[in-house]
Parts: sequence; C-alpha cells; structure tokens
Amino acid sequence: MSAKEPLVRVEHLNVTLGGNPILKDIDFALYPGQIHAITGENGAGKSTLAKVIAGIHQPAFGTIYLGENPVQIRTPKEAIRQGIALIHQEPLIFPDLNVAENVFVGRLPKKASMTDHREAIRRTNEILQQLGVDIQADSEVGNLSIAQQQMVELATAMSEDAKVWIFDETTASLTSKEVSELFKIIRGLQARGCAIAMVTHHLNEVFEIADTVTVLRDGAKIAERKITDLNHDQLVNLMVGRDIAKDHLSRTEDTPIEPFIELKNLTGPGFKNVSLTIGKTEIVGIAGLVGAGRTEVARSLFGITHPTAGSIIKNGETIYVRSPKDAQRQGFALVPEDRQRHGLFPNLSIEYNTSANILGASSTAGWLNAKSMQNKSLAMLEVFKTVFKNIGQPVRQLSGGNQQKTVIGRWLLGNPDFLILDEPTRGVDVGARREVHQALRTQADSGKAILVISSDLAELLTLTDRIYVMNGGTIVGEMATRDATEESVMALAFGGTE
Amino acid sequence: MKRPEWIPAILTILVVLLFAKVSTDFRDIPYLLGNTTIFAETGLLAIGMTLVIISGNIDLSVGSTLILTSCLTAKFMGAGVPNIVAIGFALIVGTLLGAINGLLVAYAKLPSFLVTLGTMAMYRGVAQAMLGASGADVAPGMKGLDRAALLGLPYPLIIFLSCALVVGLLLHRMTLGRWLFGIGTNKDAAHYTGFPVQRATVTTFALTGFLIGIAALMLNSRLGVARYDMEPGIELKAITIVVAGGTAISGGKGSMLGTVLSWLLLYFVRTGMGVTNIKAEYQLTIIGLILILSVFAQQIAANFSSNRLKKQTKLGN
Repeated sequence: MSAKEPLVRVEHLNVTLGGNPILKDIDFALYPGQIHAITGENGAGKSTLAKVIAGIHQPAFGTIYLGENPVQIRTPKEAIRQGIALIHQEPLIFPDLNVAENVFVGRLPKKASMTDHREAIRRTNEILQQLGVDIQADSEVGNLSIAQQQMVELATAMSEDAKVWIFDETTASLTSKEVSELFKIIRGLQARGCAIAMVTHHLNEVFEIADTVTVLRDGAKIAERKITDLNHDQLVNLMVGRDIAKDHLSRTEDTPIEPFIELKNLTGPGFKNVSLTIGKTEIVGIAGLVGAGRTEVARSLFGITHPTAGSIIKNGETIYVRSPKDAQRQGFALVPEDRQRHGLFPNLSIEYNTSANILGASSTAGWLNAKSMQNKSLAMLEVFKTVFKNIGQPVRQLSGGNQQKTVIGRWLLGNPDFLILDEPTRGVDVGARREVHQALRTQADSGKAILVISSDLAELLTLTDRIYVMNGGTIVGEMATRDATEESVMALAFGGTE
Repeated sequence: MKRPEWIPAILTILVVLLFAKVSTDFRDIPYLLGNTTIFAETGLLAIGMTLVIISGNIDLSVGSTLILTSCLTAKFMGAGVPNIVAIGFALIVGTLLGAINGLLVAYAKLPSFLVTLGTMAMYRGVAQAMLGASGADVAPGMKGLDRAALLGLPYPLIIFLSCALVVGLLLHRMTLGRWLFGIGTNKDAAHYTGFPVQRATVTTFALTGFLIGIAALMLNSRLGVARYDMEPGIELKAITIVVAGGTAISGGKGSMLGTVLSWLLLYFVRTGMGVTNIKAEYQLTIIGLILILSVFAQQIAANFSSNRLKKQTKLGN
C-alpha cells in the first residue's frame, strides 16, 4: 500500500464496560484500499474496537481521528454520516419492510412531501446491481436469507456512500459459497479505495483476504503485522500468548474411569456426529469457538432441543430426554450459558433462586417445608462462599459472580449425577472463579460426572481431566488435559480448511 | 415496611375512619356486612386473577366466563334439579371455560391477552345467542341463598374469604405457587429449571374458572335471573383489585393478602360513596385515582427499600 493518509485512526483508545477495562491503550488505523483484519480469542475486545469506531460504544479515554480531525462519534447514525459503516454478524434489519425501505429507512426519497417508494426502489435496484447481488428491491427482508440480509446492510452503507467499512464477524453465519461472494464484494470496495476492517477469528479468512492483521489479547494490542510476514502458527501464538500459569485441579486418583454418559454419533440442530464419553468423578471439557455447536449439544442433552440421530447412553442404557423436566428425572443438570435469560429469576429472592430445584424433594403432597428449604439453600450458598445480605433479597442485587453461584448451587442442590455447565464462570471475577472450580472438583470427587463447555481455555486447562474440541458442529479432537496446551487446543478449534 | 400490602391496609383504615366520621350508615355493622354480598363475586374473580397475573398472564374473559356459566346454569338446571347438581354443573362449566383459555395459552402458545380478549367476546356472545334479550329464570331452590348468614356473616363473604385463604396457601405455601412466581418472572428460566410451565398455566386458568363457577352461583342466587348483559366491566374491577393490591402487572410479584386488602379497600370506598350519595360518575373517577395512587405509592416504597438494601449490602465483586 502506498503511504496515504489513514481514513480513520484511533489513539490511546481505552474502553470500559460496567467498570471492567475492555480495551487498553489501542492505536489503530485504517488506510484507503487496505483490508485490515482484527483478530483474537473470544473476549479479546475485537468487536468492541469495531463498535467504538462505529459509534456504538464510547471510549473512556483516547481519540478518534477522521483524516486529520479529532471527532466524537456518539451514535451509529453519526458514524454513518461520517462515512463509517458497520456490518453485523446478525444483520440489523426491519423484517417486515421491503429491501428499499430498509436501505432508505428514515430517509426515503420524497416527491411533493410524500415518500416516493418508486424512486426508492429504483435507486435500491441500482445499488444492488452495483453490488452484483441478485435481490429484488421490493422483496420483504424477513423472507431473505441471512446472507441476503447482510447484503441489504451493505446496500444501506453503499447508499450512504460509506468510505470506511467494518465487518464484525460477518462471515460467522454464512456458508462458504456466501463467504466467497462477500469477499468478492469486499475486494470491489477495496478497489474503489474504501478502508476495510474485518473482525474475525477465522484465521483462514485472515490469510485469504487481509493485507494487514492486528491481534488483540485481553483488550490489548499484541501485534500489527503485514500478512505476508506471518504464517498460521505464528498468528495462533500471537493470539493465545504463552504466559498463563498452569494451576491444575486434576482428579485426585488415577483409577480408570468407566463411561457413565456416552453420546454416540449424536446429531441435532447445530451439531452432527458428536461422540464423547464422560465418566463418574471426571470433569470433561468441550473447547471451541463461539458457534462451534457446543451449546447446542448441551441443549440437546438437556431436552431443550431434540437430537435427530444418534443416541445418548447412560450407564449402558439408551435414554431419551424430551424436556428439561425429563432430564432432571434422569439426574441431569444444566447451568445454562445465558444466565440472565435461562438461569435467573432476577426479581425473586436468593432463597427462591437457590431452592427452585428442590421443590419436589422439600414438599409433601405439594406442601413446602420452608424451613428445610431455607436451611439447604443457606448451606449451599455457604459452600460457594456467596456474598449476600439476606436470603430474601432479590437475586438481581447480587454481583454477576454471586448470581452465578446461586444458579450453580440451585442445580447442585438437586443432587444430579451428571452436571453440564455452559460457560460456568463467564463474567465471574478471579476469586469467585477459583471457588466455583474448587466446588466443582469436590462434586466430581464425590462421584458426579461433569461436562464443562468453556470458551476460556485457561479454565478448561485448570479444571478438566479431558478436553474435546469442537469446530463446525462436530468434534475434531480429544486430548488428556495434561497433554494439552493452549496452542494445541486452539489449532484444532480454528481448524484447517472448511 | 418491606411488604407492599401495607399500602392498601393503611388506605383501608383511612377510608373507614373518613366515612365513619361523615356517615352514620357507615357505622352500621350489619349493613356493612350485608352489603359485601355484591362484592364477593368480584372478589372471587380477583382471587383467580391474582394467580393468573403473578404467572405473567392476564385473563380478560373472567366477566364473560361468569356470565356464560351463570346463563348455562340457569337455563339447563331447571326447577326439578337438586341444588347440589346445579352447583356441580356450574363449577364444572366454569372450570372448563377457564381450561380452554389455559390450553390455548400454554399449548398453542398464544399471548393470554389475545386469547382472553377473544374468549371475552366469545363467551358473552354465546350467552347472548342462547338467551337473546330475555333472561333465564334461576331455579327457585337456588334463589336467595346468598342472603343466608352464619353468625351474622353472609355466606358470600365467608365463601370469598375461605377461597382467598385456600388459594392463598396454594400460592404461598405450595409448589404450584412457587412455580407461578418463577414462570411469571422468567418463563425461559422456569422451563430450563424443569418447572411444568404448561401444566401450571392450564391449572391456573382452570382454577380461575372454578372460582368463577362459585361466583356464577352467587350471582344467580342474588339476581334470580340470568342475562347475557349482566355485570359489564367486572373483569376490569377484578384486575383493578389485584393490581391495587400490589401484584405486579408484569408478573412474578404479588400476594393474596394484598388482593384481599385491596378488595376491602374498594369495597369500603364504594359503599362509603354510596351511603354519602356521591354521584356515580365521581365514584368512577375516585376509584381510578385510588388505583393510580396505590400503584404509585408501591412503586415509591419499592424503590426506597431497594435503595436502602443496596446501600446496606456492600457487595463483594
């Protein structure tokens, strides 16, 4: 690339969300005619960087320059007015409106102070043609595929004459054919002199399309390199780092483990041919990127969705799990990934939240034994060293870590044989995390089988005995945790070619 | 002060003191007790409504269910039928009509607002189609039962309070009640936790229908004739009572004690305004004001106590 001036530049960018630093002192610039990949592990801050430039998040400190001029971009609308467009993984569209109405939403062309739909459709068709996509401007957007909806977002940005294009994990929901079509368009934008940033954790894509790559880790910029100066392994090393101390909570005894839960070629919504085993006293992890199908397996195991093929075997017998209630009857428990949506009863008391799973066990003919429920709840909260004022206060007043402890405690109170935890310590601070890990190891030692899904490799390496790696909805590897390194797991998780 | 019920309780005491000061009729205890008969029916509707709203739903059809049950019972339980059969018939019809709502909400996964908006029109429509402009006479054996009293307490009042007690225990002391609070707070989490969300929903609507069956019998007994156009707007009165009693319209929060206190409050206000000859149109305005005042006061109290708790709890991490 020539030594042109950057279109957008950030200096000393710091972002905090909810008091936690997300981005630390980032310098970053986008040049015309350049495709710049931003990559890093889950939670490294790559999407946040994109969103700051696009006006969705505000920096706590640092400056954004448009050309020479420092600017404040307070809203996405301001960003687009400045020629900065953000294309999302899940397109933000109005499903009930047609393509033209989406493209020109809020600024439909007017004729004699009435909106001129015909003109909007004509101009939209023009833009769609420029993009080289085969969509009709008058089709209802809700009926389009995700890829086509993304094209609608692209068309909107095009109609605003955007100069800076930021693609935030845009390929995550696309098929490989759709990806190559998207890349063709991106190269077209590049040829027109636009500056392009691509947030992605697919290394293949980085090597396929980017000129330059910026690697983030834990909110800090680790490296910015020309793509020609790097190979695949070097990039993985940059992303993962190699400084995490091993602090392993492995099984206390080394007796061989009988499989207790087995999945045989289990196939369902979002995953295929998943085979794995978990023994009693064992903690097994599933690593993988967001969208690899891990949560989907957990949901099927727990009867929230239903497998279409393959089997779930418990103690040598095939079982069918039709609903969460059914799963509970089988002695299963699931601590869901999305605590707010699927785990908590936010306005109800800590006691309610902790005891929600032992209603049957604490009642005779429907009558609850309040005293016993309260005692059991208090005991469980004590196990996790949960910090609270009084057991009757709404659980939403607790910190995230303590909320998570009540949810895990709820499931342990039900005394399951098989405990599935999906991102058990997401948003939980280091101290609480340690307490949760120790409690889980104690539970495993007492004879439970535990399956942990985590995007946090350090967590899996600390906590588990064995790790499966998923990619693209299927298991691509298995290893004993003592033989695993972050690099070996990540290499599998990022996968070879699709 | 943590319980929101103190607001209707205090308002009730104020209202009683006020009217007792200005009206001698209001100091006539037998009169006051006798007058509860008319309000007991609304109260029964409010008991069921409390459960429905706590579980995150709404039942707009309670009034129409009442009317249809009452009309069907009057029409088909002719003179010869023993009272006990008529009573059983009304309870079954009420329960079934409620269960229809529940099944549509739970299994067809339709919003309860729309389902019961539909059945609100439909149930009354069926009653109208069946009876037209004329009424159906209630069997003589069923008439006037509502005027019987035990130790000076009219039966409708006794029935209302007993139902409130029983359903209150169900709500606050039994597993079904726990489920309802959870479902009303976060239906997805309730499902993930293994609560029988659908079964509990059907049960709640059916139980509401059962209570309406009791109310229909009282109505028939009191009026002696069943018509399709009786008790317009009673569903809104029931909702008013529930919400003014501290039950959150968004679900997950509320109590039976609150509903009973709120019922008492509205009863005293209505009766007091009646005996002091306040015009009907003013009465409606005042009821509306009380509703807003009560909800507003609860909001302030809730914010206050939640802030205080937050301040006291210097939470780790």
